[in-house]
Amino acid sequence: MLRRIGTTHVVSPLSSFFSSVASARRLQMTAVSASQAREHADAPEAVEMNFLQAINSALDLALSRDEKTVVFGEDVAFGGVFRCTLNLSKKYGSQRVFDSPLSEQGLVGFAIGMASAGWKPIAEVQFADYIFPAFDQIVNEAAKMRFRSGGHFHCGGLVIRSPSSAVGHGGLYHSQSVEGFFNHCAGIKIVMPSTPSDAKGLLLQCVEEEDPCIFFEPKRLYRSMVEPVDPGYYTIPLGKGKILCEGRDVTIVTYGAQVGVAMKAAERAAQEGISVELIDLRSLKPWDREMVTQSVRKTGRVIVTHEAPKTSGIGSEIVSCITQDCFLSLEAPPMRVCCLDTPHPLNERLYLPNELKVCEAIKYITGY
Amino acid sequence: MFRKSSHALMHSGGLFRTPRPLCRALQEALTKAQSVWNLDFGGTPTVDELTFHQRKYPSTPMFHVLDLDGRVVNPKQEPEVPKETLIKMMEAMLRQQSIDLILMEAQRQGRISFYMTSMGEEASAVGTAAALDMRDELFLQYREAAALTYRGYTVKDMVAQCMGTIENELKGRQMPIHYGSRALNVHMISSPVATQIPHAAGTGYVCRLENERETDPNKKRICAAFVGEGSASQGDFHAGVNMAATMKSNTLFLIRNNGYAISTPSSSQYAGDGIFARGIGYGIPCARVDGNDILAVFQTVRKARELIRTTNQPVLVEALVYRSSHHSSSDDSTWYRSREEVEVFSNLFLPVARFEKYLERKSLWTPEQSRSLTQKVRQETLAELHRQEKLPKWPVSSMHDDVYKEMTPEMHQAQKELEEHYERNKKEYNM
Repeated sequence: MLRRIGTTHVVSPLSSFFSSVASARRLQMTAVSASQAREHADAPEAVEMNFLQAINSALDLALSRDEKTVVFGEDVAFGGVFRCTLNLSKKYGSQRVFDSPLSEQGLVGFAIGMASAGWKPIAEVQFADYIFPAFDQIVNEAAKMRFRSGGHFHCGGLVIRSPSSAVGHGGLYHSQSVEGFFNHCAGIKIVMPSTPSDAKGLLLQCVEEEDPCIFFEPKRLYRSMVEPVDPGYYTIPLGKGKILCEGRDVTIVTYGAQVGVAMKAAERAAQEGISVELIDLRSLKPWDREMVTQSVRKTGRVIVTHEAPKTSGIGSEIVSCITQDCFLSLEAPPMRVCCLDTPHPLNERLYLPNELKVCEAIKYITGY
Repeated sequence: MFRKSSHALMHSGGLFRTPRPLCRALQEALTKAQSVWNLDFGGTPTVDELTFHQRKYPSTPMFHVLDLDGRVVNPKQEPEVPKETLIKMMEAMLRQQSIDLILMEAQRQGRISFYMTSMGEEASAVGTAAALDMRDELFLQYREAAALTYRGYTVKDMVAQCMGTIENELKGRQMPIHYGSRALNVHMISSPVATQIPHAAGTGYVCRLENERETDPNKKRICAAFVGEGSASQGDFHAGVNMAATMKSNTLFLIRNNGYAISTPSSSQYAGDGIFARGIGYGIPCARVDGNDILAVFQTVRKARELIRTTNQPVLVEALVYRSSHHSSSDDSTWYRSREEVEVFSNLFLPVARFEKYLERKSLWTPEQSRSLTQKVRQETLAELHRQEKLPKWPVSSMHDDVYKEMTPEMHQAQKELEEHYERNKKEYNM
């Protein structure tokens, strides 16, 4: 059984497509005020970074400002299979940036123990698909530690970061978006950014949080998504979404790599006279319910789209809240455009909630 | 049961035929490569005679100090323990026994919902706690309340937790016997078994890093995890002990092998030489001790702590004990083991009585002191039960506390809705 991809970076046949997503994003951002669309990206000394470099920068800064912060996981010491931890072991030493034995329940349990002793472990689970061996440690232990002890014990310093979502050829075990499993679990926070700038600020916020956080990194963006990033220290608060473009006719709510897909669909819709308001949630638990509510009350229509499968995905929770909060404003039933309710196949072109599917949803809901 | 050993199968070392000169190049090549596997063959990486290795019987003997009558068998092995510590250990065991008697009866009367006693296992818990420093971090399973008692957890604390009253600083959220105390450095017990083992590896790693920076030897501390032999079958046991070994955590793993995991006898739990032998496989120091002999436990744990601190390795200690009581108030152990077995083994080992005889022989204790303390603690426990039965539970407003450090807007809203619901229907809730 092949568990780990042998090479650290496989050239994806889709990489040129997603590179165009990055450039499209940069153009589209001009539609919204600069300060809102590009927090910290317009700093005088902004540096071009791809997603993995932004992660590396965040980890570097986190390690530099607190001696009780450590970074570890499988293959982390040499730089990590996606290079997110490159050079950190040399810079901070093998006691603070280190490999763990190949055991997810072990490394997460170990991190919980470090956090309960007041340290800040940033544990890496190599692929989100392999976080399930640690599910018991996350759900039964990390999430409940503060509550079960009446606030006397906690593992608030815990951060678990993990590559997530489709990459073009990952098949069943290198493509999953697992945030829905954890969304149902009180006591943890969940983040999934879509840009290098957001990734850096949100990861540093997770490190500062005093609650356990799971930080998912859409891996097809690691090298394909490039933008100016503030090289200094900054955080972006959890629970705050981001309006990427304002619109009148329909609201699209999404997060992670799906933001790029929705952006392209919105552009196509614009060519047909449909004005789309696009919201990147960024923070999934807690999420920005207020922003979504205000947007849907304005547009009267909503499409929630995510890469995770449809049944019981996060979209279900969002749509249920929208129905409750915006009932009198809704001019069409809320829609969800998600992956199919099957395991993730190797050939994913028809599996993923691609641009064509989102466009069809936009036409359907605006013509309802 | 002693199984006749097969000498051939037990051949696990010793002399092998001297390798022929023609193999020198191979020996040198493999010796050079051995670091790739983190092995050290001591100069002889190969054998030319196939041997399968097994390490099962005879089982590794356990260390002991006292015989069944509380006499020291080998004076050279009698640990030097301060008198006040000896007395404190005795008192902690008797206190726990007395508390257990009253609270188990309280459960039978429906005054608390659930209970688990430490009957027969007091010595392993107290001996371990006494050998550790108060600053050492403890991760318990659930049958180590005596260790908490030794550290100063009170009858009031225990009753408050078992009843979930307003006086329970843990806010009454967990089933009875799920104790914890930040002040006493005892981490909150949780029901999922073995999850605390990797935690203890991580906390033990923190202890190691902080100990290396700490210049005052008196401020150095370790982490200790208590584990039942059934829990050792969980994947977390493998993950935690293995990672503690590779990370050189300052962690003690104390295994309470009491022969049963609820109804499951050890013959259905493992086939190797207990849990002790597994530690050997992870490459860490291991010891096996008579868990009913508190002095043996004390001495073993004290030496283990020293070894942990001086060599930066975790240590595994397996204490062999017998579970005299039912697994819990939800279990009737006569369904799977005979009363005769329980009576024979319980009366045979009697860890508390054994130590009492030792102390009497040293003129440090009298039977009257046992009777007096037992009576006092029973009365104290009963009085606490009566008093706390009149206390309120935690308020409805506390139900959403501590999920996160701060309340999220949605949780504020949910809390408000619940309080309004409660006010509208207060009479029917009768709280």
